[in-house]
Amino acid sequence: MRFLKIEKLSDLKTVREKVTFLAGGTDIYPLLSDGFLENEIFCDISGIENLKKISIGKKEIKIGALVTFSRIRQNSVLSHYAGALVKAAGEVGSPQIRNRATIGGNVATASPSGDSIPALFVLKARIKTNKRTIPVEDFFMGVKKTVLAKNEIITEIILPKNKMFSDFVKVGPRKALAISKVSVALAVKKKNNIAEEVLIAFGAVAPTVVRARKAEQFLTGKIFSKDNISKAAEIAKGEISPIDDFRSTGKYRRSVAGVLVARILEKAI
Amino acid sequence: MKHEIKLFVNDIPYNITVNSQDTLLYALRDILHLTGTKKGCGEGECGACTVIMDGEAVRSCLILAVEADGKKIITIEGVSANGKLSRVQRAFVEAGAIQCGFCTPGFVMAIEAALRKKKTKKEELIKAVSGHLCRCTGYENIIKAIDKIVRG
Amino acid sequence: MDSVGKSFVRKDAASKATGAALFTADLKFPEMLFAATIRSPKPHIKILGIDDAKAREVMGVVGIYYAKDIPGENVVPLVFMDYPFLAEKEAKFQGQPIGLVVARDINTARKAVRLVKIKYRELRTVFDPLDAMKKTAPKIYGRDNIFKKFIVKKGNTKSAKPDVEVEDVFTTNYQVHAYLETQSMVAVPQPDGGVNVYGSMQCPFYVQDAVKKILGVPYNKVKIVQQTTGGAFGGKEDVPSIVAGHAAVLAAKTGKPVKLIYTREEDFQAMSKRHPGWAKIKYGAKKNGKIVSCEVKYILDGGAFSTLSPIVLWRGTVHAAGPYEIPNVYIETYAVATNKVPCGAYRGFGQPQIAFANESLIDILAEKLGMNPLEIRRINAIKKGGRTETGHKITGSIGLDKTINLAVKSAGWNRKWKHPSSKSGSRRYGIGMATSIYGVGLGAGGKHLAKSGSFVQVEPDGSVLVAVGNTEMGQGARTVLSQIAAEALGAPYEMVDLMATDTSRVPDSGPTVASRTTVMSGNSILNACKSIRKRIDDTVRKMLKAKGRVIAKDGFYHIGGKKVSYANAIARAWADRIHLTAAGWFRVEGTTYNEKNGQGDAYFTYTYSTMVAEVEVDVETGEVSILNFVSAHDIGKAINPKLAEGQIQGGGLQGIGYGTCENLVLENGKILNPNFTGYIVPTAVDAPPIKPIIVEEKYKGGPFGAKGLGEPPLICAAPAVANAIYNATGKRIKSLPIIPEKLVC
Repeated sequence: MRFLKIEKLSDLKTVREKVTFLAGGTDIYPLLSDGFLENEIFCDISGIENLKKISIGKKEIKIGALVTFSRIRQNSVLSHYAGALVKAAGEVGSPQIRNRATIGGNVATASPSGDSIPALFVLKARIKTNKRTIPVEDFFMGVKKTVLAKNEIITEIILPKNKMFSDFVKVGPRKALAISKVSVALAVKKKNNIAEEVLIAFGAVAPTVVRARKAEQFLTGKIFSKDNISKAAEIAKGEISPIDDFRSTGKYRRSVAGVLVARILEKAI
Repeated sequence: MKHEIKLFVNDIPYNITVNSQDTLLYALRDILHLTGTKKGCGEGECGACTVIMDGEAVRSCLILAVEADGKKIITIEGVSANGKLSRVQRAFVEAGAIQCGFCTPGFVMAIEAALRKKKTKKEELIKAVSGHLCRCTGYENIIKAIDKIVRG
Repeated sequence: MDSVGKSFVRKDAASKATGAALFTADLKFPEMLFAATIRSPKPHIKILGIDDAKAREVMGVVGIYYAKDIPGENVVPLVFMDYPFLAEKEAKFQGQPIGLVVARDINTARKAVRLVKIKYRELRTVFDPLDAMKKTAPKIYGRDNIFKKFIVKKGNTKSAKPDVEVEDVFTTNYQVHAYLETQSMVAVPQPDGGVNVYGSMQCPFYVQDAVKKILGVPYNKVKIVQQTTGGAFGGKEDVPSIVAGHAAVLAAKTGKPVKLIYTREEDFQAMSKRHPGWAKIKYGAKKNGKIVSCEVKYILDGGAFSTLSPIVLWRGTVHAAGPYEIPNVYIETYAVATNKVPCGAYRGFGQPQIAFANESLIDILAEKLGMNPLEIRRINAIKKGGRTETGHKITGSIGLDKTINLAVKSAGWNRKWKHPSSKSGSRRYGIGMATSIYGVGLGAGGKHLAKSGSFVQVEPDGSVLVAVGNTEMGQGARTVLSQIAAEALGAPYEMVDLMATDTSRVPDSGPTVASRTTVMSGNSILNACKSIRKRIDDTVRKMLKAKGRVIAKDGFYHIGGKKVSYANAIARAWADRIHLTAAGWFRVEGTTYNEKNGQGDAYFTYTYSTMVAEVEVDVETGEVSILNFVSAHDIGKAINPKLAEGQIQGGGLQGIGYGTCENLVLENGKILNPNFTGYIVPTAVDAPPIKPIIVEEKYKGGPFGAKGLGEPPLICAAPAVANAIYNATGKRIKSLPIIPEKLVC
């Protein structure tokens, strides 16, 4: 294994080999001791200072790729405009992992259970790299697969500055340090308790995040009533077909996905 | 690949040579012989290797030694200066929060880090150790130790 | 009493809090080498050859060794001799050791292991113990895959004539010890051909047997020293023998100190576990609730080698009817071989699996009789003068009723218990209880090991050095045994300490298991102290110019109204060249137990326990929160109440984890979640408040009346939770762990 370090974004040009980029490293290092990464070349980007900013603009919020989940959790402006993301940030790993783990790293790792990703879907995030800007919906290709090209790195996560209610819930195997069995993010724009816009996204039920589009459509223009919510939850459940693995069963995930949708929608009433 | 790095550990500067794949935990334990920091899993899941790096509690098994170049690190050996127990350590001893003791340095460091960041409420301190595994105590007496720390 | 019954701070607390305590991985020796293990890639293979040419080329590799290189015998000495240190022609589980690499650093050793290619042919496998008992199953052990079978027959179940009967099948999964420190050993060769081994272990004398065997050297050339041990819970009973044997061979081959530390993953893959259990159980009762018959068929999944399965099964067998007095009992049990990781000791030792079955079934019986779970237990709980399932008449030290009464009172049972049919809503409250009886020590199943040595030396300044053959592994033996020695000698507690357990200092004292240390080492220390005290007392009489009984109190020796300080008496004794050193020995006399019918005194005494769990179940997600947990135990006498409480709390949470979230998943013999990410143990935010209650019905044969406590706090925790979940939801889950997936779907 080899190790490089760059401290300025412009130094990316100097990197000729195919490298694995390191931000907080919390997803990468567990693999080290197994020797899986023996032949990798790592490029540490954690020293690039201008990727560590959260800037609040008039129309957009820009979160640098190297912003840690601890910082996202504590940011009061974000909790105003991106409740789902702030909530999800508090659910990643443990406090010490959140002190190192970055939003850019979570997105680039593209784990099906990455907690920030469903939140970014409902917040209509765009992923900015050193080469282009991509809507989050187009970013993921599969389990741990993204559209990132060789030596392309995420630089910023851009969120529209919408004042929507948004939230995130997950079910894991315990109350802390838990990898999600199912997670749901929701964003809602309402007028007089009528849904103008609804976004629902599931994590951990498919190789990548899945939007519950039929449930969203069903709710749009309708009253936020208990009855409509339980109908929407039922529809949402039908939009996924999760699998069995050692963490849980497909049947459980689907059933609980419906429960979580209903509960998160009730919070939006 | 070898790297020359500088670590400030418990206020002492060290110049050491590490391999690319060496973790901070390896550098502390096997190069600097500071064995109070423990390796329970090597995957960031148990918390036994927690140290304070530039003021933040971190898992030293999830950080490469090269990444820690130039950083200020406090280990368990750095909290009980002159052989005197810190207030956190004293609380753990008195509350019966220690059985096998393998997880203890990690718990102590997580709480030390929180206190240094002025997190002094019970819930904050419990949150600080929520990612730490202890298999002996059932956590009951660890919570009692936290109570003692909060009471001062 | 000055020292016994006091909650002194543990002797080792401060050094553990500062990180100064030396665990095995912390040891360093000049020229030390590092080892890693080559393991079977599949669950059942015939080994055709090994290509390690590439591995040998790696810079820093010192040697690679296989079965043929073992100088002594290639068998781990346990109950049966079926487990080789290194597989030679056939490997029977995935992860079984085949070879060893030793290198200048650990990364090099592990890299070389990855480059070794084992050529093999896969053999037929069997993974389910019930399948393994079929005639057509591939044979892994003997002619029938059965390691051991036991029977208990009391009265005649056929003539019991019950009014109602309940019968069900209950299963339990593995449990992983999840001690925070993985298996660790350092072997240091000695110039004369012997070896010293320093390591993490419960049973230094098992390790000594193993190292003697694998090296083929006499006992006096093998010295085992236990290091500070980072948790064990049974997981460091037998398997450290393998790790130490490997390290010792490498030390002997290379002539250098060798360190062998397992990664968390290989510890999961290859080290012992709690046996998965299968139990079909039937209770018959009269309308008034009195149980008149019990039939049990109980099967343990032993994995590929017998290791401790026969004795784990035995403990399960002689407790399988529960803590009840039942006139007619028939129990038939089997430990069976499968192509999976060998199972061994884990806190509770074959009891938690069967306790889940009988404590669930008795609740089912109560429901059928229209009774409260508390009522049926009160009716049937074994009482003074009653006989256990093995016909052992209990004549004293029996506090089961008291533990029941105190536990339900503390939890507010009468106020809180309501029938499940009255519950509604998405979050439902439930309360449940369970009870257990626990035979202290090894009992008739391990009577040849029921011995214990000690060594006590009072120094000229009055400080006292105590050596025993049992170990401190976190449970507090160092502190508790120091308290016993201090009390017996009349020495201040602060002046007494235990040294690290060292086989060259004390004779084979059996293992540190089965909650036997306080009683066995405690009695042994009492014997040693008695002979020293006799000599001190003579000195005191001389100094005080008085006759009669010497009483030790508050750091003084008293005769009538006269007194002399402990320090002065010891100084005087040394000045008079009195011998203040003694070796102690304690053994348990034979029992009446008869293996043919399972009748007789299985143990010398029993610990009794009652636990009450309160839960809230989210019936939509199946998530269970434990709100409160009460755990009451009759332990005879708490030598150190605070440490006793620590055992109750820690064991309780392990039992709760066993019942709710700890779920090892295997597919074709391969463990799919061999780490703390996938195998879920409770964290501080998952843990409920655990209220310990100590009942002290003194046991005449124990030191100051003490019995044993290490294992009971785990045994009936899971069924208490299971019964609470039933009480909340009306759903009876008959397999552990009760993960949300079982409650929702």
